[in-house]
Amino acid sequence: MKVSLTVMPVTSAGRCILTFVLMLFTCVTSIYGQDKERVHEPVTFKYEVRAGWGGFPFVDRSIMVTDNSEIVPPDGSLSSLYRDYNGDTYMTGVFSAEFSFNFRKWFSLALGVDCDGIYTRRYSADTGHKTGTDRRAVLTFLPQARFSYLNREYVKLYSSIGLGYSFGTSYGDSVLFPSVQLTPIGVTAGKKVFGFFEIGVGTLYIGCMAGAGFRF
Amino acid sequence: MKKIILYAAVLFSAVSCKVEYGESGYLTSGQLQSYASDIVYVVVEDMRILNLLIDIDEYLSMTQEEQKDSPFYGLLMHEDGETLVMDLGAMDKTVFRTGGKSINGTGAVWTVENYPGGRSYYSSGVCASVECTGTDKWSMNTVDDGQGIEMRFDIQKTGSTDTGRAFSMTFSGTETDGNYRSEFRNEDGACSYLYQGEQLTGTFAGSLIIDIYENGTRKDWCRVTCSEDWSIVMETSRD
Repeated sequence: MKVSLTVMPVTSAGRCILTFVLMLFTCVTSIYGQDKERVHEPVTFKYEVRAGWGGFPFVDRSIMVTDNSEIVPPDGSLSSLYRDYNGDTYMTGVFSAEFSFNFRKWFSLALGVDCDGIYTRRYSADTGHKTGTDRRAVLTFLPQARFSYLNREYVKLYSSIGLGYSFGTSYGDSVLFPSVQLTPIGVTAGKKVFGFFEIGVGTLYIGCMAGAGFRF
Repeated sequence: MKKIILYAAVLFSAVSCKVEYGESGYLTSGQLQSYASDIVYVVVEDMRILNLLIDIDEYLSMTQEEQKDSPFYGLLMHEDGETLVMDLGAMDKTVFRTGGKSINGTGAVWTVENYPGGRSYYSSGVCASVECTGTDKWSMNTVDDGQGIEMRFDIQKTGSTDTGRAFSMTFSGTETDGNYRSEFRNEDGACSYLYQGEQLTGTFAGSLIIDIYENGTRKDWCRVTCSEDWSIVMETSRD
């Protein structure tokens, strides 16, 4: 099956993303390898994993979902009378999995992988019976810099910004586009095991995300 | 592993939300009726080919002075003694080959290429072959390759007035589109057609039956009955 790849205009955006990631790693290594004579407040938990679910993925919806009003109606030919037609289209929302490096109490770097599923049932124009399901997915790799401005033992407030790439796939076709996500406010509740809730805007989702995690 | 997939499917179904309403694509009686109307249109358009040839034949028999008053003057051009061309708005010019004989002469065969008829703008142009089989009698074969439609007519002119010509005809045809095939023919005797000039569609009266097959299995049918007072009755297998 021939697979075509559509790459959204990424030249300048791609450079931005690469620059951001390189800067991030440069900062991280410099922070990590900084003069050890400086005394830093110890980080209680160096690592963190979290999983969450959020929405609404507007950008995925606009790129990956066909607007049925744009589908060409039957042209009167025999085969067009009997062509399969689309049923309702559903999206699962964004499922997220993240691993964070906590470099400072106020700064951490999160590496996240997110997945958004889309499916449409197809039906026979002849019988009305289901003939199959069109399945699509958008996979996003999104490194994020997270800044905590309230650090209590059981409660943290933070903001974050991330830059990455999203890869959307459907039968025989793919699309690659840059991803940017801003979380103006997020909260975690818990010490070692925690729940989180955040409000975000960007290509990943516009709305909110919630989930749970574990620090170690 | 199957359990994991099942749980994932249940989870996705539980959290999924509808983002786009589906099409209303189930084949209805209305769509079959629309298809049947298109076939009637093809029959009428093909009959206009014969009438155009009769008009051209009359034009060719005129004197040069009389031809100057004809709408064909300056539009219908000779390529050679037996070939004429005219721009009828098709992608290419329409070509008429007369065989050097009048369309009313028994045994005469005229052919037409690129006639801009057909069902819709998807048509690539109709080709026709018309043979005079007797006094005011013709048989006509038409092919629309772009639409996969072939038709055959046996036509008898039954009258002629200042406003038009009346015909009686029997016909049959097929449309082939991938695995689908439709067969149509007149039913309950010959149909009639009143030609009233290029600017008018004309009046078709009679009964037409269409059978639709998929891979040789009959799937649907449609019956169209047209009356001279323009009333149309349609029945389909999806009523």
